[in-house]
Amino acid sequence: MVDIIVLIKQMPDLEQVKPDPTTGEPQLKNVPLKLENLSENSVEEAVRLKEKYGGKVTAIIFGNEQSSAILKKAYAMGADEGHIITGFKGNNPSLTAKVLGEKIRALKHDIVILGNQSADSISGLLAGKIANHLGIPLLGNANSIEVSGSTVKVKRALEENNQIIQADFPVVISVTQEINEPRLPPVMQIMQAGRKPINTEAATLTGREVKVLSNKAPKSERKKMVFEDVDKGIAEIVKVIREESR
Amino acid sequence: MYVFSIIVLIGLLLSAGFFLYTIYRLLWNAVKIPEKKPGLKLQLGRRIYLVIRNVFLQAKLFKDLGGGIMHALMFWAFIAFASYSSDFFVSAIFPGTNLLSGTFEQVAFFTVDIFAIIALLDVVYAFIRRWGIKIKRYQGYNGFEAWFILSLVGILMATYYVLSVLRLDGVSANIPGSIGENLAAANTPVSYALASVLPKVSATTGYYIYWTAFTIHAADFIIFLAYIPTSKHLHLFAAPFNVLFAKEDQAILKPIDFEKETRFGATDIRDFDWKDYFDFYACTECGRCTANCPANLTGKTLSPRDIIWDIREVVVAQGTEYRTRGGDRDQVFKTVIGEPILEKDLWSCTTCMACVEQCPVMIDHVSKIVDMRRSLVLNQGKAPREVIDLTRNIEQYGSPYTIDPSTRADWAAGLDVVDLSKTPDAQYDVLYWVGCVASFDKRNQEIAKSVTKILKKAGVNFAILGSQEKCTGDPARRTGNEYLADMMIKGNVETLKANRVQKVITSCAHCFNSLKNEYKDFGIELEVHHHTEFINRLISDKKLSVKSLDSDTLEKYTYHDPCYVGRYNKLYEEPRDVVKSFAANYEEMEMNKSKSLCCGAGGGRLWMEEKEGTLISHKRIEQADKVNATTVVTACPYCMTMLDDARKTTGREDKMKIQDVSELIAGRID
Amino acid sequence: MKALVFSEFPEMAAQMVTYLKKQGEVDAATAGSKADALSHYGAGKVYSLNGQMQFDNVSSWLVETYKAGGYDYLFVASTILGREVAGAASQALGAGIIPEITEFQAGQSNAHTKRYFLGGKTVLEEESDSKVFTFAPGIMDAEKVDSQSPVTPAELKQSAVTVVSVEEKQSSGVNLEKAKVIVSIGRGVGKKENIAQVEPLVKAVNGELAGSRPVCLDYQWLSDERQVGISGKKVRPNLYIAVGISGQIQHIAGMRGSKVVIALNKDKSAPIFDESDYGIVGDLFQVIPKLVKALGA
Repeated sequence: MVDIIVLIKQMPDLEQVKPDPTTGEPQLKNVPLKLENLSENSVEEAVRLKEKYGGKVTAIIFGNEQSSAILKKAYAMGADEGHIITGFKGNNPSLTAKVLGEKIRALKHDIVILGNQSADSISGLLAGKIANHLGIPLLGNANSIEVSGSTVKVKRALEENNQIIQADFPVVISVTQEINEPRLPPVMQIMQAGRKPINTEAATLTGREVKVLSNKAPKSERKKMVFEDVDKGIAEIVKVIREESR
Repeated sequence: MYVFSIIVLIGLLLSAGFFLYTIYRLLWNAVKIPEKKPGLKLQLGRRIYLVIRNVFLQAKLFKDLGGGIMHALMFWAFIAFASYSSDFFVSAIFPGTNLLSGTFEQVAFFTVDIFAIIALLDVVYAFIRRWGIKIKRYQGYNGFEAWFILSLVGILMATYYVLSVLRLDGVSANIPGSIGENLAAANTPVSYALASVLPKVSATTGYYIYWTAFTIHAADFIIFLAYIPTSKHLHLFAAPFNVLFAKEDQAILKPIDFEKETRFGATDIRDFDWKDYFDFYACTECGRCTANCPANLTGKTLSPRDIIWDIREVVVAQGTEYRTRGGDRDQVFKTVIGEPILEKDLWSCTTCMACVEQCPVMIDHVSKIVDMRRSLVLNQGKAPREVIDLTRNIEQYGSPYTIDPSTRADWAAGLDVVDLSKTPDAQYDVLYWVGCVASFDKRNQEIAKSVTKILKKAGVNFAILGSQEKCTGDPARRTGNEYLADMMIKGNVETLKANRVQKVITSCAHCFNSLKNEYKDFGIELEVHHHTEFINRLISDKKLSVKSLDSDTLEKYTYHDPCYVGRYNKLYEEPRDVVKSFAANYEEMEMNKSKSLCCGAGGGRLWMEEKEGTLISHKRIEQADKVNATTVVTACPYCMTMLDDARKTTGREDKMKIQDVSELIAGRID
Repeated sequence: MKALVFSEFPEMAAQMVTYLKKQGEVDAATAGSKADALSHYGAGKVYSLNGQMQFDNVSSWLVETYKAGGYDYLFVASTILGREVAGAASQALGAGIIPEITEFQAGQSNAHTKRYFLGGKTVLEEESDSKVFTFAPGIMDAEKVDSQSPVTPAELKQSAVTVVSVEEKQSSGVNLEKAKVIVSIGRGVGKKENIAQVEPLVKAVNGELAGSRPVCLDYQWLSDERQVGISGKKVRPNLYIAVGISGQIQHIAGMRGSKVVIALNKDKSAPIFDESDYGIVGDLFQVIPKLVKALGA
């Protein structure tokens, strides 16, 4: 029996985020929120571990009032219990780590699973922060997870090699997108998810200020010479290629 | 009573008893096991028509002419023999009592005499087909059963002639139980001819020959009767009923009531309804379905025949177990998916309906395959990776693509199209439902633009839904995700109602079928036209004048039937009429109209990789090349995508184009 | 400003040293076996860390050294280990952290940084009192100097994580970060078999073959070490030829540093053309053979 906590996050659907034509700032209003990609892999892995070794999966999200739809998705995928901590006000890894860390401390946990680097903020800091906050080992960038007794072994995919590393409970594990293919939740579970209780509490901690000077779509300084006449285009491009590939 | 009468009676009773008991067991399965109902409507007129057409006239069998003629003759021979055999057994059991007399007897004996020789020749022909020229679809399937039954039929016919000739020779005149003694020789012309060439025998020899032939004939019949329900020849009894009970809308999918139902899709034999059981029982393993299955034709292991037959075997085995031992239904009825039905076979199906179209006994393979997909997707969340991606996109973006849904109507920029998302109060007569592929895919946007041009030229007051339009749910539905399809359909029904839509035209074959045939189950009745149908009418109403081809053109046209336009909705002539309205140089491909070969994209396959065997689209392009077509005309964005790709990947780019019907016309109305 | 820099890869540490030394004094730490490679880039000191590197022992060494050495800032290259270490170190220091920066300017008390956000859709310009930063890879080319930095060895503590075994990746020896010319393919290529039709171009320009995320991860037409993008390699070649790549922002973020970008795509409205210097709209399998022929002539 393994007590698994899975940390999930919500993000705007990036396909539908467009810069404001005049200010260049992203328009986030009316953009639907979704369960962040790696959070989905994390829930999937947590549920697979539960199916294999028995135990319980608890999902925690640091979000806002809209997070219940996201949590229900985790329920549909097989999470047993869920907590929403409201008060998320933007990307602040230190605050997120503290808020989540305190919540994890209050719950039984053998394994804490989260994504290695979220698809929107791409910071990748949370795993290290949470592990440090809780003072427990981090088994990072896991491509596969194996549990025997109270020891966890993971395949850590690094840039130049793969390591098999292990540590004893409790541990934090960050997972890669390659670790699994998240399931389509079975219909019965989707319907039951709607009826499962959701625990909501407000965050009491506050974080340090980061002043945002600007948040705009990057400007491209490319020449943008596009040819629809293939032969003309090739004539031009051949010159460039010869120049640059010397 | 004579001893032989008693023996015949006992034999017949045993055989009939066994026959009825077997039928009882089969019916018991169909009544006691299913947990779903077929929801049939009475529709008496349609049912009588079907039975006359497909049973008595054997109409569907002639799709394979050789086999069809063979089977029809055999069938009619059996009908003819019904009265003869009844007379034979009544007289055998109660000598002196004759069932037939007068004109009725004359007609019956005459027909039997003719059909017996036909049936004999038929048996020879059948042997030749299976073991001589070795027709592919028969190979490896129940050779023994076929051999055994053909022999029984042959012997039955041969012994008939022996008895008949002996009668003409006067041998049987005084033998109790013999029949037809009062008939004139000319009443049985074949027997008469035989009698005149065969040497006469003495009364004693004749007597022994008579009893030998009589015994063989009676025993043959008795064995036959008992053998039928345990073999593929059960179709003799099951098929007529299956035709009688046939659903009006084969391959059209039915909704699931997620509030009430608890078993989704077909996992084990409880999840098929009694009508499905008749489908299983009616199957004769003739293999016409598999011989026309695009997946099977391109080297995939999917075989609609095996799907039906394999489940039938499970029904018989698990049904027997449940009937004799009872017990926990969850224990007895084990899933059919995985074993014997392979998951990969379920995903190979393009839902093209060729199997359904071909099946002489009106089995619906497609809805069973989709039902098993439903089981995988809805109960286990199991599907090929591409299907999961497809599902997510439909859920997230309302289309099969990872594209911002607000850009759906971008293709119409500058074309001055009424977009109901922007001008909700606009007055319009017809809604043009564009569909996702023509909205988002570059190549297929040409179709949307062409339809727009045609409608404008013909003065049709139309509108589009723009960003309000969402996937009809068809790809989700056909890949088994009824839950998502249900959501999409209900959303679209709301949108359609909110925009007061009544009349729809669409250029997508799949949207067409959904909107026309499947949306009514969700509470909306629409008048739906496929664009080929609509354009054809505009041309015949002289609302469009289409420039003819120059007489010296080298263009040669052929038409590829999209399955959801042709087989699903029987629009075969309209698209052809449009093409022929300007092009004389037209030739049909080898497989066309109801026998058309699928492009490989239906049933969600457009979004899946075709890893097993060769590509269906390549086979189709080769067929187009065989008639030297320079332009392959089609009428569906799915077909367009597949065939255009096949044209390129098989190196036919320079000599062949793929064009939608709308593109052809849009280019000729300036 | 006094900065401490860490990366387990000396070439990445060297890039950071080159970038930061204009703004002050920089010391750098890297893996013990590779420390010598880092001693030619103008760092005040080079620490060579000995021992099996894990998130905990590296971060605790960095925290101690940072405190003891009176450093103002800690910079860590964004790698798998780097991000973990930076997260843990900032937590231990109780200091703010800004991840994935592409620009850094030290102010009086605050630091001014830029980074990509929303999956690369926007650039976030921030001012904060953060002390720890992760640097996005490939910010600039490292520049060697004449002087040599002294190398100080340091021992790492025992980690709570045990390394059971290490398995080298089956590498095809491809090094996209160092490639001068890259031909990168996207979903537009259609299918794996079609890659053969792109290869003549790769040969003609003497380049390396790379791919977008779908091509490398989702469909696995190419191995993952050839993936360019925000979740893959960040490359800076002289010439980047995008073949059938639509130009999803996640991909652009991985190849923005390229000097010249050429795009081949059949879709005129593909966003890649906005990120290219030259583009040809046309069917790939017609354009490529023509281009290869023209290059051979």
